[in-house]
Amino acid sequence: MGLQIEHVNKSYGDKKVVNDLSFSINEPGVFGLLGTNGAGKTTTIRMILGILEKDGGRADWNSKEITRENVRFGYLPEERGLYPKAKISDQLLYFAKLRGMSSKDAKASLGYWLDRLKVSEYAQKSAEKLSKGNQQKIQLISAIIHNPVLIILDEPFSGLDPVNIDLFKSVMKELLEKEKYIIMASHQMQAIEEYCREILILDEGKTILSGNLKEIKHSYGRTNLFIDCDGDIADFAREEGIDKITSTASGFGLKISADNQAYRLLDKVIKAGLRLDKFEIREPSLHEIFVELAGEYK
Amino acid sequence: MREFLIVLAYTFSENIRKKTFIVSIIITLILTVAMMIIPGLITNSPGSGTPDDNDQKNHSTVIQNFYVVDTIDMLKNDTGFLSKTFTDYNFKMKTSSDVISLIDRIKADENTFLLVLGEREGKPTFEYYFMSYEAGPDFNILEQKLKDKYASNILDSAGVDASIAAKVTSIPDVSLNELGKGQLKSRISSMLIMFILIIAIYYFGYGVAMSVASEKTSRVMETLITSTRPSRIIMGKTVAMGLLGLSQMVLIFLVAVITYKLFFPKNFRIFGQSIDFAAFSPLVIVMIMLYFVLGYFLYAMLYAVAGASVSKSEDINTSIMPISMLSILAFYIAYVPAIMPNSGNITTVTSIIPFTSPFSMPGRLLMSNVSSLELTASITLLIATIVLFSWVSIKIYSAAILNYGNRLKLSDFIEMTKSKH
Repeated sequence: MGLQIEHVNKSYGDKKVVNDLSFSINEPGVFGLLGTNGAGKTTTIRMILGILEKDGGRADWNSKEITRENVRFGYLPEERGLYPKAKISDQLLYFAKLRGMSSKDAKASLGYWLDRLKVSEYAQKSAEKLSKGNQQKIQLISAIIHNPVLIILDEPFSGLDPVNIDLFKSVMKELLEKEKYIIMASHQMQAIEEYCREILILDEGKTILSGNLKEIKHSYGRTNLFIDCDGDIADFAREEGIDKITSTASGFGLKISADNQAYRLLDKVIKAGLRLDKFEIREPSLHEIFVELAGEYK
Repeated sequence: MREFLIVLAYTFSENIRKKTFIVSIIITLILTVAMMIIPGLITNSPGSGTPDDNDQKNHSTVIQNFYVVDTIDMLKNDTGFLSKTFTDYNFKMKTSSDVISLIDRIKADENTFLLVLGEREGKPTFEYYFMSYEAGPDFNILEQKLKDKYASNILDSAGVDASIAAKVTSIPDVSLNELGKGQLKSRISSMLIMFILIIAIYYFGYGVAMSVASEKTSRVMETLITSTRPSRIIMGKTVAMGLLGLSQMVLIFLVAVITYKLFFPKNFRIFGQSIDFAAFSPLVIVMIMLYFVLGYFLYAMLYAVAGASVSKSEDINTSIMPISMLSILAFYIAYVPAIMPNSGNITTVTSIIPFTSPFSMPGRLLMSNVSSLELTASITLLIATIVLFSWVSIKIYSAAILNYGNRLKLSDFIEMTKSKH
């Protein structure tokens, strides 16, 4: 059941933009598709949706090739696009009806989502008269108005203010409660960590990391130490054999090999009489994993 | 089919509400009404009218002096027959010695005329002096009257009975009863239809290209093609714009017919050619509409591909240029033989070749009889070409709509025809 991607390839001329990509989403939830710019995320999404021809491999939904007829999917493209001169309600109803909704159901769904995203007042306005944030809300409605089972969101939070990011997150939660299968492509690692159980990181078309996010982070171990105190601890850290030290306004980030190394450093800090505000040993963040991996492959 | 109809309905309703469309249709209707009313105004204005009553009506307020110097005594001092025909002129007999002073008078007054009747080598000579030809009587009629008088004098001097002489000089009552289609009479209406067809095909084809290009450049295309197949988008869009064009043409046609019946003067001529709409039988009208639809569809599919090939809307004019050139070339290949007399079989050939037939065949149907075999061959070939080009266009369109960045080359288009979409 669900989405299965098997050995998908795509080349443009000599350049291989997606190289033997495989993953699956077997139950409702959010799947994170990560990658640097030009890593092949949009090409992958287009091939999953069947709007771009694959050179090889399969993209199936419930063991059948994905087509517009086999699965009801919704797509929020990274490059937002609306008819600039057409009324918001007209174009959203147009998309809903094209995706198989009756006129009555489309109107009901339109009313619900316009209210939910707080844009009802713009229903009779043309898209060009809306702010970028409101256009993005309309674009999100166009992706989900027809109650799709598979939803692909490409950079859903980009360009939104914090209030609207929270609004989008609440919609994400609602979609998850409705047991939707969601693929989220984003550079916002915090959002990915918040929602995604499974992730896949692409670099130049190749999969450089994939799997369960918690397990991935566990596999990296508790190698990150954070200390916030009122003095310089760089010398103490070097004495303990810690070379990777990052100093920021909020404190020191250190890369440790074992918990004991951190405890010995803590002992030195206390004995030196420095006032300690924060001491935290943790797994690396997804951001750190991503930067490390993407950097390694460059 | 449902999705095709949804695309069609949306495209139609969005475009019919556009200000540019509304303004263009208002302007076209005003021009149509003007074309029907203005000939009537010209005909009814002073100095106009049919040739026969021109001389009766002309210069009704000014009596003009028409002097006649008769050196051969042809008129025998009788200008009554001239006064009867040209009632606005005061005919006066003068002598040869007056000629020079009369010429001077004509130079000073354009409403004065002089005719000197003489003979040279046994043949009569008519020397006519005037300042403005248009201000004088119709010289063709005047010449005919003088010729009749000359012939009548000769017959009289030969002792021929006056009744026989009258028969000889009488003007036969000619009645033209053309049973075929009047090629000459229908020429102007045929030219008009060809021009309307090329303008309509270009205008609405351009509309398709713009519509596709704007969907691509506004990036709405990416949302659209996840909603339905590209083939349904291009077909729905093309048919919608065609219906829009057809509706506009029907509206213009109805307005033209009504204003023609109400205002258009009978026997109106342009450069001596009368304009005749009698050839517009119901069948011919249906065929003109059919050729508009087929011709439009053939070119519109190509325009859609041109629209899909650009990433920026400002590139649209460059991308549609080859299609526009093709349509204009096809138009001239069809148009030039149609207006040239004795063009032989060229019009037959151009009315059958798919790209020229939408312009050529309607003109032929108006000007001559077209055999059902030729008509069938023309329509069949046109439909077959549309099917072939639609198939190719859909293939290219499906691949081109997601192509952003570099402009597509011919080799790219050929590669795109191999796609499975």
